[in-house]
Amino acid sequence: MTEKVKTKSTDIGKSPEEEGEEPRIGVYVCHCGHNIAGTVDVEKVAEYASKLPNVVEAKDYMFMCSKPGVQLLKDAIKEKGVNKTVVASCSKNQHGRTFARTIEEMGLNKHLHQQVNIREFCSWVHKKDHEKATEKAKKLVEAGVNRARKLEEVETKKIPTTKAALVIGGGIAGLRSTFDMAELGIPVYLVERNSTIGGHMTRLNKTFPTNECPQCSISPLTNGVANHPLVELYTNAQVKSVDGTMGNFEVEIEISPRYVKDNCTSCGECAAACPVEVPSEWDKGMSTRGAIYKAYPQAIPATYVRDKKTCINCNTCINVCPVQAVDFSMEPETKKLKVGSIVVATGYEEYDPSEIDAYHYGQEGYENVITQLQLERILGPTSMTGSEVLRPSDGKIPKHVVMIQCVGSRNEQVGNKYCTGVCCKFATKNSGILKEMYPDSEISICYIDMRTPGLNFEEYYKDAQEKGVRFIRGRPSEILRDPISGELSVIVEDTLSQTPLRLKADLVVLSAAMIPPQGIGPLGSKLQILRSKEGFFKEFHIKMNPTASSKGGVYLAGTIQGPKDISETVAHAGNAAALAAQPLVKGYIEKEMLIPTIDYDLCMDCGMCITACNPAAISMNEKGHPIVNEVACRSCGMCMPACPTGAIQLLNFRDDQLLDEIVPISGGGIVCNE
Amino acid sequence: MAKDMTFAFFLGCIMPNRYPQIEKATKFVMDKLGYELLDMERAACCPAPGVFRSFNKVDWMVHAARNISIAEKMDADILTVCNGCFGTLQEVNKRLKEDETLKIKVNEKLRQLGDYEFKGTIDVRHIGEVLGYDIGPWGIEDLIVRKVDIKAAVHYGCHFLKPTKIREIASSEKPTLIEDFIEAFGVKALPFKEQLTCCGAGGGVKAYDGNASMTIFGEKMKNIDEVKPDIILDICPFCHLQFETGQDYLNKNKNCNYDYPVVHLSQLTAYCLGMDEKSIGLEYQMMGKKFEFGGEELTGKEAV
Repeated sequence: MTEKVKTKSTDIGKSPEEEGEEPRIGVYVCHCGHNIAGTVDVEKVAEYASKLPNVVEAKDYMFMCSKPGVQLLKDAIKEKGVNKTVVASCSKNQHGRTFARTIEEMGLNKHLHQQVNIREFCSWVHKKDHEKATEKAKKLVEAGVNRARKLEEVETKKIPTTKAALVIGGGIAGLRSTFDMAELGIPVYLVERNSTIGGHMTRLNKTFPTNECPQCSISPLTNGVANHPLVELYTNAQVKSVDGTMGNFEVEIEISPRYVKDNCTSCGECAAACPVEVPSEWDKGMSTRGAIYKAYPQAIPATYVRDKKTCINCNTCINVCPVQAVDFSMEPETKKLKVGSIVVATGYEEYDPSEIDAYHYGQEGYENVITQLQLERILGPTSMTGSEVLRPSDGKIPKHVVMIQCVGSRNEQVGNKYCTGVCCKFATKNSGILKEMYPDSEISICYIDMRTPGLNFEEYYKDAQEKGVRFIRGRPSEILRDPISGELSVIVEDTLSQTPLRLKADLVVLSAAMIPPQGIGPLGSKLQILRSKEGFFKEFHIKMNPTASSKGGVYLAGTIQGPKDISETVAHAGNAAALAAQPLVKGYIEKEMLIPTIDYDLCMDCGMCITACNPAAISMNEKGHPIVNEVACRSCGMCMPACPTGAIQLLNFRDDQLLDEIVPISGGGIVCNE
Repeated sequence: MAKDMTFAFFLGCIMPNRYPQIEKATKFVMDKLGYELLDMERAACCPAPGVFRSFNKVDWMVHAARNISIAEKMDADILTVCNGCFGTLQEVNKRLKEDETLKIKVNEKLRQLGDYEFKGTIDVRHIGEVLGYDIGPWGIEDLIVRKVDIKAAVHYGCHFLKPTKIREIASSEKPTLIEDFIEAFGVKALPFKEQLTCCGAGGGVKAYDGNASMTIFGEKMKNIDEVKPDIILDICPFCHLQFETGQDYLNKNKNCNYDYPVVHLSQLTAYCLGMDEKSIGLEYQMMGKKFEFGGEELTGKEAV
C-alpha cells in the first residue's frame, strides 16, 4: 500500500501567507475543445488573469485534464515557484480532484488548488452571447484567484478503527452482510429483535420469478451465519444505546431472556403440553402457537422460547421438559460491544390495511379479506391447512379470488405516495400458483399499472396471463359484503373498457405495501441517522452511495433504505458489507481535517451549531462550550450560518475567504456588516 | 362562538315546499330538547352541491356564504335537515374558514349582493349529527314517551358523511350513529346490501337523466325489499322525495309493488317524543299512507 497520507504541516490552519510566504498563483484556462472556447474567448480570460495581483503565470490550453495540460501545472510549480493553482475548466466534482492530486504529487497540499467552473456555469448556459460570456468568465476567474490567495493547508489524519462490526437485524439483508463481513475476517455481532433469524423470507411460500423454495435458498445462509466462528448471534435482543463515531463505536444491547436454556433439544414436548393458544405472529395469525413455542420447524436458533406476556405460569413445560431446559428465573442482560462499523438491516413491515375503511380488513364479517403475506402463510409448506387454500371464514376452497394491488402504496390518502415495486411481482406469482392449484377457480388481479420490470419478469407476467389469470386495470373502490349471505364482492371499474364491475370474491387478497418497521424511530435517534419522509432510513446518495447512511460508519442494508425485492436486497446488503468492511480491513480511516474552528472569544455557548449539525459532530463539553468532533464532522458547513456571532468558521470556507470570492462576481457591491 | 342551545334553522327548498311535516317535526323535536330555532330571513337556496358547483364553483360559494352570513348576523350555528344543504353549507363554511385568499375573493363578490360578509364565526350542523352525537341515545332516553317496535332500512345518503375529509363526522364506510340513535326508540335497523350507495337523486341526476336515476334507485329498492323493513328511514328531504316518487314510478312502470313508508329521522324522533301521529303526516305522503307507528306509550309520560 502506498503511503499517501501527508502529515507535513504541523500548524494546520496557517496559510503560507501568514508564514510569510507570498502567494504565487498560477491560472490555467481550459478550452475543453469547443465546449468552452467555442463561446468564451479563453485567451482574453488568461490575459486578464495574468494582470491580477499575485498571479505569476496565466495560460490557456486545449485540454487541461490531458497529460500535457497537467504537466503545465507541474512545470509552473517547479520552475516558477507557483504555490497556489487555479484551473478554470469544468466542475470541481469532475476534475477538481485531478488537479489537486497533481499539485500533491509536486509536494503542495492538495487543498491549495482552486477549481473554477466556466463550463457548466458559463459557456454552456450563455452559448449565444460570446462577449458577455467572456466577461463573466473573467469575473469567475478573478473570484477564483481571490479565493486561492488565502487558501490554507488541510491535514489528513489516520484514525485507527476497531476491527469488529455490528449488524442490526437478522433477515436476509442482515444475514448477507454478516456473512460477507465474517468471510473477510471481521468479527460480527448480529443482533435480532425476534427469537429467530431469517426474517420475512422464511415466511414466503415461493420466490419469484423462479418459484423456488425460499427456505432452501436461505437456510445455507442462516446456518452459515449461526455456525460461523467469527459471528456472535444475539436473538431477542435490541440496541439500547450507541456512542462514538465512525471506526470506533460503543454499543449497548439488551437481551431479553428466552426462559429456555441452550441445552434444549428442540423436542417440542413443552409446546405440545402448553395449554395456551394465541395467534402466531410468524404465521401472520394464520395459525396458533403456545406460550412456549418455536416460530417454525427450521427456526434458528432451534431453542424454544417462552412468551412471558401470554404465559399463565402453570409450569407444565418445566415439568415435561426431559432435559430441564425450561427456566423461568432467567433475567434480561445487557452487553457492551465495541465495533468499528454498524450495518442497519431492520427490514420492512407489511402495511396494515385496516386503515383503509373501504376494504374492511380485519373487521367482523370480512374474515376472507387477507394480505399477500397471509396468503403466503396459507400456501406455505408448514401451513395449518396443509398448503391447501382454505378461506378463513368457513374453510372452503375459494372459487373466486380477487387480488387488489397498491394497498397502502401509491395512495396519498394514507400518506404513502411511493410504489413498493414488488407487489405486482408477488401478486403475479401467487395468482399463477393459485391458478395451477385450482384451474377451475377464477383469479383476478385489480391493478393501477402493472409494474414488472427487469429480466424474466415480463415473461413471468405473460405466463400468468396464459394460465388464465384475469388482469383488470382499475383500483377497487370498495369491498362490499352482502349482509344476508355474507358474500363479498369487489367493486371496480375496468378502466380499459370503461365498464363498472362487481367481482364476486370468495377470497380477497390485498397486496399491502412495504413500510418502515414499527418502532424504528428510537433506533434512528440512537444511531443519529436521518430518515426519508416516507420513514425509511435515508441513504447518503441515491445513485452513488445507496448503502451509506447520513452518519459516517453506519450503513444501510436492504429494505430499511426503501422497498426492495430479495435479489435487490441481497445485492444492497453485500455492498453495505463491503463499505462497512473497508475501514476495518484497512485498519484505519483517512480523514481530511476540513473542520470548523471555534473562536471562544466570540462564542456565546448558545448551541445553535449543535442544532444545525446533521452528523451530530458538535457537542457541549463539560464546561458548557461547544466542541467539534473532528472524526464525525462531514465538512458540510451548516454550523456556520447557524452561528449568530460568526465564532465558528470552517477551514477554507471562512467568511472573509468567501467574501473575497464574491466581491468580483458582484462587482464589488457587497454590503458587509462588519 | 355562536350562542348555545340556539340554531338558525335553514329550511332549504324541498322540505318547506314538499314536506312541511318534516319541518314541523324538526321544530317539535328541537323544542322538546330545549333548543331555540330561529328563522333565517331572506335565506335562499343553499345552492345545490351537485349542479351549481359543477357550473361555477366560486358563485356557488358566494351564494352559500350569503346564507351563512345571515346566520352569522344572528350569532347562531346553522341547523339543516337536508344532506344537500349540509353538503353545500358545511363545505363552503369550512373551506372559507381555512382559506383566507378564497374568503377575500368570495367576500368581494358577496358585497355586490348587499350587506353581507362571510366572517367564519359559526358552524353548520346536520340534524343527524346533532341527534346522533350531541344528544345521542343516552341523552334522548328521558324524553321518550313512545317506544315503537319497527324495523327500519336506514339510508344515510351521500353528502352527510362524504367526503369524510371535509365532513369529519364518521367513517362513510361503516357508520352506525343513526342506527345507534334510533335503537333508543326501539327501532331495529336492518342492514341491507349496498346500504351506503346513492339514492339516485343527487348531483342533478334526477332532473337531467330520469332513467339513470331510476336504474340506480331500482337497484336500491331491490336491496331494501330483500330485508323487508317496516319503514325506510332517511335524513334528507331529497332522498325522501326520491324514495316517495321513485317507488310510485317503479310501481307504474317497472311492475313493482312497493309501498314502504318513507320517514325522516325528525319525523320518527318527533313521534317517539310524543307528537301526534296525524302531524307526522305519513297520510299526506305518497307511500305507506296507512302505516301506523303503534308502539307502547310509556307510563307516567304524556303524549301531546
